[in-house]
Amino acid sequence: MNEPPNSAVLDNPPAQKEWEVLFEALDLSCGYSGRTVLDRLNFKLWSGFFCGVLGPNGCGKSTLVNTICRVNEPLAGCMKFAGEELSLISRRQLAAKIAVVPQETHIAFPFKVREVVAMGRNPHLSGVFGSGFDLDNQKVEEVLEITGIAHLSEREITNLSGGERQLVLLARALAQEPKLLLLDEPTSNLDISHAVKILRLVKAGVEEQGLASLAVFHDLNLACLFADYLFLIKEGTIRYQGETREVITDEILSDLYDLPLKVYSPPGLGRLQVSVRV
Amino acid sequence: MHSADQSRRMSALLYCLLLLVLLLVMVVVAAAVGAARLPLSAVGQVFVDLFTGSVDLLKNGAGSGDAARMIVLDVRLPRIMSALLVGAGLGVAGAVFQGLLLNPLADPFTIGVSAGAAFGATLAILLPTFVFLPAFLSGPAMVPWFAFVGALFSLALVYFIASRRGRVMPESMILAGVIVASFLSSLISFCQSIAGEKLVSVVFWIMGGFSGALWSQVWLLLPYFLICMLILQAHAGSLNIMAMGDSTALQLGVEVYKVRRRLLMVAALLTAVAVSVSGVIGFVGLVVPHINRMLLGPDHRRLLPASALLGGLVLVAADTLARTVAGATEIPVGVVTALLGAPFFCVIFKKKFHQ
Repeated sequence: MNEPPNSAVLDNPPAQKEWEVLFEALDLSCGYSGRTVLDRLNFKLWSGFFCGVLGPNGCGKSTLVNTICRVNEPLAGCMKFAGEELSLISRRQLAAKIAVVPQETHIAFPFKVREVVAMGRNPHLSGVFGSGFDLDNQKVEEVLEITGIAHLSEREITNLSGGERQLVLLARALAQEPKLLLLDEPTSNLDISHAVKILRLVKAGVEEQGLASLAVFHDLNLACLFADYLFLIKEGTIRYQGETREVITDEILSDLYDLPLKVYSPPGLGRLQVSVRV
Repeated sequence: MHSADQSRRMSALLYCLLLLVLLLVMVVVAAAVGAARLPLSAVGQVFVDLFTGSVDLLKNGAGSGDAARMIVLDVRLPRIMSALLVGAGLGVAGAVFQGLLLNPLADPFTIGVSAGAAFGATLAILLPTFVFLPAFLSGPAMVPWFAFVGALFSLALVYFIASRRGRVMPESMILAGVIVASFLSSLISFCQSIAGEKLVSVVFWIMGGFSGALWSQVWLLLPYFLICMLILQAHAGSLNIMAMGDSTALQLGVEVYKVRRRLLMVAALLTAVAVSVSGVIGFVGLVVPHINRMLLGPDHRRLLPASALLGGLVLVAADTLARTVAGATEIPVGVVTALLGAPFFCVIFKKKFHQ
């Protein structure tokens, strides 16, 4: 199941795009100081594909995201980014390739929205006094527009609602101009309209600019709606992976969550949805 | 239309210019008032001479000349300059500590550096009574050096307790600081209980002051302070990003642990020197960055220089009060800053809280 099969079931079948490998994990083990959370994973991420990660709480989804962006060092194995060994890339260079939208951030000081977004330019700045943010950057303006938060740009980040704040964090990640965008449960605290807004923006980036994206999902239905490809994690390994339509089945999901789940296809949606059997 | 960055930079620049002007005025006023009140015109003339280069301080000051000139150049100006440098140092260090520890209530003394310095100074004052020390190790001139070593010692201790595999977390730093500071404070209390007649000088040293400041001290401090401040300023942008939390800062390309270690060391060294020279002067490092953050926003690239200027201004003013307000008796400057700083801090804190 490692190689993506040809499939023409979806509305936007990934098979029509080119499967260009951007990121590759080889026997990657992740965890914290001796405690292995994920054991010898092998997987790939592709430019122009929205990949999702599903799995029960505590299975290591966030650990995976943190390891890919090297907030945690891997315990073993290696990661390759566009063929290059990831551990050999400096942190600043890495930040120009991989950006993360975190679940939530505690921000200690009342920075303005524009300042927070401009921090995304940090990996592209240079010089001793150059680190920090460049408020007049064209890219900052652009992502403020794209994410629809230009009207908030002079507000303080500490005074925004959860949905608005998450949009700011997405804008900051986009300002990094990454090739790979990681999202760690970006919508878990948001109402459905903000959640969809965020995921639509990511999807647009994936489809229009060829971003590779890996998003941790809690909501199975959102995953079915947005992800092209899914990794299903349980007990420290990727137990299933494949195109969304292939792995979203009653048997696989019920096994993943130890809960009887029912997959159905609402008429006219063109995507699967999941419900609990009560 | 001005862009966002330009207009922000302009207002920060204007604010700093205003502080600079106020600071210069304060320095001139401070040089004029005191036990002997000098006419402003005479003091002004001394400063004009100073800036035009007809007096060379490095070649040991006034030398000849009238009394006013000697009082200003040999007595008051070194004291004013010491207060200015220490205030600037405490202001910058306070802003850096608040940014590093992600805690707007942190100050340069949060991590226990002041307790270490006070302990060192206490030892320097008391040791000669109890053990024989060679001449070069005893005497009042050694007090700042002992204080400095004490501050370094407490910094090392705090760092050792708080760090794990070369990484320090803000919370553990604060906790370790509290532990070390209270331990050293009890040691100081113990020393005071057996100090006998020397108790007064110990207590007065800890309360802080600038009496007896010399030009030689100023020349020693100046390069040290400038280098520390330059290093801190160079990391101001990273400090901004580190306010987003460790993981986010790492993801944005900041070497968080390396930068934190470096900033912690430099800011603590700056504090250590400030404390060794002047004793424990509270509230400057807490209140000054607060005021600036309220007026300028949290961008450390502007906050640090503004805190240096405002810190210098505040401490020169406080020291001038300390030596003039009670006539011939001098109040410890640490008492002045605490007496004025605490209520002031309460007011701004309440105001902010009710917004």
